Amino acid sequence: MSPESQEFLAAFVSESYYYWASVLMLLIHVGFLAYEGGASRCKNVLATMIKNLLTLSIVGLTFFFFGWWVYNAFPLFPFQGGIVGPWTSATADGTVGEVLELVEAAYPWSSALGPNIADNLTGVFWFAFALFAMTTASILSGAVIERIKVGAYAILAVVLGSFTWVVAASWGWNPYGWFFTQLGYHDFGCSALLHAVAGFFALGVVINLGPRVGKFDVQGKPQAIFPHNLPLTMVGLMLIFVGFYAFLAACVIFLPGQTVQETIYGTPMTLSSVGVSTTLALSAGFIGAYLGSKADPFYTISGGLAGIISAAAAMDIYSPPIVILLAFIGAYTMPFVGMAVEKAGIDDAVGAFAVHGYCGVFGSVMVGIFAAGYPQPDGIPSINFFGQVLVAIICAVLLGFIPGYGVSFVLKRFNLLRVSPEEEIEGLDLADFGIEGYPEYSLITSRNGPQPEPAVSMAESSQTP
Amino acid sequence: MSSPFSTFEEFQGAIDGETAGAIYTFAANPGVNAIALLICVGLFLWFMVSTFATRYTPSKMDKSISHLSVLLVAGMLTLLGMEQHRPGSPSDPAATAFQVTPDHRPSPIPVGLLGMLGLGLPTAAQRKGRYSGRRLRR
Repeated sequence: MSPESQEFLAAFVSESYYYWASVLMLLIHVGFLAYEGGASRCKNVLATMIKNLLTLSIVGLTFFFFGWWVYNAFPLFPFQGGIVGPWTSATADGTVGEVLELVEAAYPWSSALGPNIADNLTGVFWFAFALFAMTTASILSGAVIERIKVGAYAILAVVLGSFTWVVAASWGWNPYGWFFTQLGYHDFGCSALLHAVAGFFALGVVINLGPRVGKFDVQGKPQAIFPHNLPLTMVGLMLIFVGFYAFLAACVIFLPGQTVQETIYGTPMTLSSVGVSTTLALSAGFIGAYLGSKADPFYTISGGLAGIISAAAAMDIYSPPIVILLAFIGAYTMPFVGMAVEKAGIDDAVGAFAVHGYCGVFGSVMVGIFAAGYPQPDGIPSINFFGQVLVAIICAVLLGFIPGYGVSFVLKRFNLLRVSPEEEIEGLDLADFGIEGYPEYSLITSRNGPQPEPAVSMAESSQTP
Repeated sequence: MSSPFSTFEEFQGAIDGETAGAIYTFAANPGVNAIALLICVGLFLWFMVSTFATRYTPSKMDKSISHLSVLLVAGMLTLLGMEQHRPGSPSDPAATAFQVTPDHRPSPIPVGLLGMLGLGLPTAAQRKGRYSGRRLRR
């Protein structure tokens, strides 16, 4: 094989790896579709699923318009430089010059995002990140089911999926990001950078959105609103788990010219350990949540995800027993957080805050305990407790809760956030689409049951012998 | 310390180092991982034993409202039953002539009332509670 062919083969292997990992990540969205659709009541199943489908398009398009640029443009801002963009001098050198090169390939008009035989990789990295962005917005979608206006959700999804979490990733999941270069922050699986941001963003939104009609009684005690199709929800979560294997696999960096797999931070790792650790975290998460929730089916199946998120931040370097312990503890405590949120009068329909917000912060902080001292490339601080905690707080509060609460507050002030009580009681399917999700089992009593046969007319009856 | 390496060069060259390629936490302190492993086995055994004794109990609905609802629903069901089984007059020839096939369609009024009762009563009570439920307990 000629050197040119070998070089192309290396590029093709990387290109294919990220392409198929991103395709499998789409299963996360198939899973969220089923998960949230099943978690809603019959009268809202179509509206819930449409909202999920729209997440892909809304975030996918805005990530193309500006989200990918944000990831590449913000890593130095504000402590090591400005936001890099068309205004940055083309003659900039050093770190700014390196960042500018990546930024220029991230503009929506960039030739790197179209078919370009000189660049096989920018497009697949965009694809992988776009799927990450869609996943982030989908976390919000579950918390707000059954009472949010589609337009309000669309705005919030853009803010979360194409901006705030992308800023977090730019700062903490980027070799130039100041979380990493200045604080030694380590978050291989984006526990805080993605999950904590999304979970706390969702918390801010549901506080303004308010609970569903009937969620709390006269005394303020929470009332159970059961999923209309828990089996569908469980199947959905299993699909999410499959997608998460792909998500974590896509966090491995393998580029032409490398002789070892690395994290985004340039530290060595292996894909095979991701397979082991993800499986152990999933398994330990199930049993942790089963015990913590006393076999609540909804919390138990959510425990798989809670376990993965709790161990993902340093899954590249945790030993298997540490993965099991952290996943178990995170998932065991998750139901208590969910119940505490409910007791506080907050209606988080699917426990998004408990699973993603709480476990995301937990996962980030645990790195500072169980992986403290790991050396990082020259000039970068070692993994440390202070850095992990500080970044977790920044992600949760500055990039998660404040934007979520702030944007939803403005939407609420303009009466754009929530549907009317009449629409909510009637059901969003009928109110928004005029059709029901299960027309053969209509919620409208006059449409229920078999249609009566017409009575025989007098003329026909007189002809009967 | 959890890291088996003190410098980044050691980390990158782990394959030639003391850990023979292992880069995971406490690779240089196998006792810690062994203890963690025993704890993991213990947690698993705890789970296995718990599956025999753990039963999920859904949260209870508000019983006071549901008791009242049951009474009213029972009353409406009685009305519905009376409507369904309203006796005709078999000796009336006009009734026989004009009703060749029995009229299967019940009056929609009791069904409608029943439906409204089922949908409206608990919802109305809980809607009132929505506003008090929104207060965050600090």
